[in-house]
Amino acid sequence: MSLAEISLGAAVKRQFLFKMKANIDVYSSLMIMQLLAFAISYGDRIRYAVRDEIFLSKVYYYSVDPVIGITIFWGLVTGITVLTKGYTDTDFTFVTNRLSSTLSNILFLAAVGLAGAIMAMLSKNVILLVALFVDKADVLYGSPMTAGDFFLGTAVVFLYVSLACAIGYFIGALVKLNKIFVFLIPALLIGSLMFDAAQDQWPLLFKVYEFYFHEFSLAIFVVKVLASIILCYLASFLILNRMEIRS
Amino acid sequence: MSFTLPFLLIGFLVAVWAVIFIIKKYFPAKATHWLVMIYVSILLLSVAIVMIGMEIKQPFKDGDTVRKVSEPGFQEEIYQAFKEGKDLEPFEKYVAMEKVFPLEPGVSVVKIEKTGKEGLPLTVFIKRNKENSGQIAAKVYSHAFQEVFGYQMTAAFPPPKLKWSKNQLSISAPKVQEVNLYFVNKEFPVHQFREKEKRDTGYTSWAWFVIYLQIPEHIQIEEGDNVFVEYL
Amino acid sequence: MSAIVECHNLTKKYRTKTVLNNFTATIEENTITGLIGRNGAGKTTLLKILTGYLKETSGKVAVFSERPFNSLKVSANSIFVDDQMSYPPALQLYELIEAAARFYPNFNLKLAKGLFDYFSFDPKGYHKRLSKGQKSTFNAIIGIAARCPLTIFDEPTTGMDEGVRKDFYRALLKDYLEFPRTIIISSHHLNEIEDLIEDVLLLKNGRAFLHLPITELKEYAIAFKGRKDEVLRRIGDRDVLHKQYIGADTMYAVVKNDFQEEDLEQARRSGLEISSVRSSDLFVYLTKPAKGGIDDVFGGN
Repeated sequence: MSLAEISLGAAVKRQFLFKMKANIDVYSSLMIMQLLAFAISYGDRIRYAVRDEIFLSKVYYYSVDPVIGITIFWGLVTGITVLTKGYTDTDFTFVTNRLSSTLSNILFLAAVGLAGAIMAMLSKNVILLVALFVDKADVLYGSPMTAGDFFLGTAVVFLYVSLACAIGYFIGALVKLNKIFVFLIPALLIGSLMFDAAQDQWPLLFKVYEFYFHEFSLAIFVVKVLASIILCYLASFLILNRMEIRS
Repeated sequence: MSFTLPFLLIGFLVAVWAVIFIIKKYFPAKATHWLVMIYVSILLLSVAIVMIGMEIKQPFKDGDTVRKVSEPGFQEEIYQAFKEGKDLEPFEKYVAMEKVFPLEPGVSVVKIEKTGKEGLPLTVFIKRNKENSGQIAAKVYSHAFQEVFGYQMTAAFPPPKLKWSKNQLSISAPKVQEVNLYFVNKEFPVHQFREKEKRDTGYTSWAWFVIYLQIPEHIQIEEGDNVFVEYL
Repeated sequence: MSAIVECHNLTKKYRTKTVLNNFTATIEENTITGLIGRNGAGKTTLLKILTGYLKETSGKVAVFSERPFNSLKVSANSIFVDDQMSYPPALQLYELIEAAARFYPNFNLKLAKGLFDYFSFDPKGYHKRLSKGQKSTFNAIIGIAARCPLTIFDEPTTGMDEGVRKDFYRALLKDYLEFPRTIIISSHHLNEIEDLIEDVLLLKNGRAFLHLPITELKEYAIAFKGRKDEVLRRIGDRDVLHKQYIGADTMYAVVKNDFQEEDLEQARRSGLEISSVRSSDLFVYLTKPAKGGIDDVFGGN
């Protein structure tokens, strides 16, 4: 009997397509979370009310920042779930090895991350519709979203979501290595916050946040995020490449 | 816009339904697929509607002529013009109302009063006419201004209402105006890499109105509460 | 014929426990091998190493001449079927079959559909809602239809009822004849698979205790029954696989069959009953713990 030879590329492609089909539920969770964020954003749209003898001014702010924020969070969760037991075992039901499994996971996360980023940016228009039809806003003040803004925004949100996915994936890999990380990671985060508070210094987590969110040069930002993503996935792969399945 | 929207929506939904109907034969979709499709459709539809039907005003730029109105001292100028009997021509564009009330024969006292306690105090300039024209000529100059976060709002502020009955002029000051202001900001990932706009967080609002009456000299004037009368 | 699976001194240790201990065996191409052994003998561990799920601790293991761990070639040409097979919960049974067909190049979709209908599965059903037996049946369909050069079934009949079991073995045999491949099927019920398998690989304490054609297994041992001293005299210093006392001095003993025909004839003449041993019984005798049996627990003599 002749043996089938399969290239890594072909295996990754098949697995990627399979995951896109099999994990349609990640979109449900994305939708639910985005709708939730949308509700928060809607509820939070009245920011100021100023009253003097002449005017009672209510200032409405329309923003999808909560939707974008929650999409990034969703990326983290999705990154973790991709490595939960059910998902990895499923990989090995069909043709795979650990490298093709990780590569197809990265592709899958990139694909759904891009979808999430586009959806988050598009939801801007939905909240404008709410302004128009629910709040009867005749005139909106602010900067309209240009095509350039849309593409820049989508790209940046995509990078943030991908970073979150990669961090989630790394957390998932650590947990696969040893269950103790389920407790260790939150403990370390909270511990670091408390330590910094006791030392009366800026929290380390804030510095991490600043590292990405306060980077105003697009080029440096892209380099920082891509480097972090590669680092996370590489570290995850080194852990997962030795992992046993269904043991 | 509000008329075309329902049609647009219905048309779109019919189109989506048709597409779904065709796809369904070749593609066994599940509930999740439908939900995702509906969600994406709504997102795309909203893009179309916003592109067609929405106007978003750009931030106010320095040097715009409209802003001149808010220059300090403007209010003083018109007061000065009244007191010094200067030409009122430059202020004609702020006349919100012009009315003439006939004086019935035998009326010798006119009472000017403010109805209600709300609103701004009223300043009334009265010019006594020597000849008896048998009427009171009234002019209301009014202007309101509001600037929020660097945007100048064209808030309409109604002038005071004047009501004449026999020998009494009742002036009702406008109530506090409810104004809703709608802002939309760039998303933080866009804002992060765009040149920082100067964000003005100031809030300025003012409104003034002046009531200018021409009343024959022989009529006695009785001032009500909350009315400040200045004779020219 | 070439070797599909080669293991040499294969050892697998978990933290404190050695599951496979210097396991050495070779499985030839296009054979059906029954892997038998008691619970915990290391059957599943061995099979998972062969499919690359687990990593060997030491020794050499080669499947299609490659080390299976992380080998795409092994993954593409082998399938591991057990009752723990995991599928994405969002896909319907029918979609799972189609997905499997996309992954395995030899997959026979027509056969899969046929079996699927025969066992009356609902194409739109979901795997997690199946009963234990139905899950096993579904997994077995995938395993048969995948037509992988190395097809591994680990306790495939768990939960299946008698009828389905028979159908499954029959389907497996028919498709094997039509499309020969190397099949390893593990079970602790030898009698269930003895008509199907060609070779037996008996695993005991993490080692290949026996590896021989099933026909030889049937003649592997012989039983003597009669007076105790006579039985003991006949069997000499051979290892007694199983002994049992019936009454005061009647003994039943099973030993490895390496007697000459005239020896047996003599024994028969001296009043001993000689019988063959059912392979399933032999399996029990061969795999029992070193000392005693269940009776000893109850303080029997």
